[in-house]
Amino acid sequence: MQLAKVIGSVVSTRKCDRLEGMKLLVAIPIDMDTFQEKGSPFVTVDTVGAGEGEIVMWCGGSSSRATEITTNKPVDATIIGIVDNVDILGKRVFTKGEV
Amino acid sequence: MIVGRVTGNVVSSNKSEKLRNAKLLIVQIVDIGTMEMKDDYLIMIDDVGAGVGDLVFGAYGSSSRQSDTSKQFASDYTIYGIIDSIDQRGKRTYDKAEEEDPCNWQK
Repeated sequence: MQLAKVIGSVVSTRKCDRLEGMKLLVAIPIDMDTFQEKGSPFVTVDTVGAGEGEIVMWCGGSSSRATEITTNKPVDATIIGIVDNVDILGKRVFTKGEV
Repeated sequence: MIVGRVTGNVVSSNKSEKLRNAKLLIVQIVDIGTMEMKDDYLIMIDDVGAGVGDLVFGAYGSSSRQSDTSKQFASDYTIYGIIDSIDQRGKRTYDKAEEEDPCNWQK
């Protein structure tokens, strides 16, 4: 799994019917060293009601189809958790709500 | 899910039986942070009727064979949607309706 920050959303009316009702969000990878945004944004399917600005956990590949919402769906990146806090090497590097 | 601009197509008559009737489109990857087209191309199977100039998104690997029509193909990248709009950080960074010339690379 990897961390990312939700920064937006995508609207697509003409899409595969199995994607009907799926929430398409735009997320940007988070660098675990600095906890800053790094790299370019990508499109992911939300299964936990993540909102803009939230740090989330996502998984790719066939595992992205391992949730009830995304089983047998043409998805290769799924948000599977909203992060409350992160501790690395005994230090709290992230707490939800604290900037 | 990868995002790219459809810029062309591929015709192959002598190909795997598992690609018969597959529509093969050239997609140039777009960095949606800057909306710039990267120097990175893919051949993707079209599942939604996309055409040249469309900004599309698709899935990779086994996820590219997860629709009724694409599960029969030997595909590793399939187009599963044409993008209408993208909002980032509270701003609309892409809007299909407001695009004057989606094929501006042809100039």
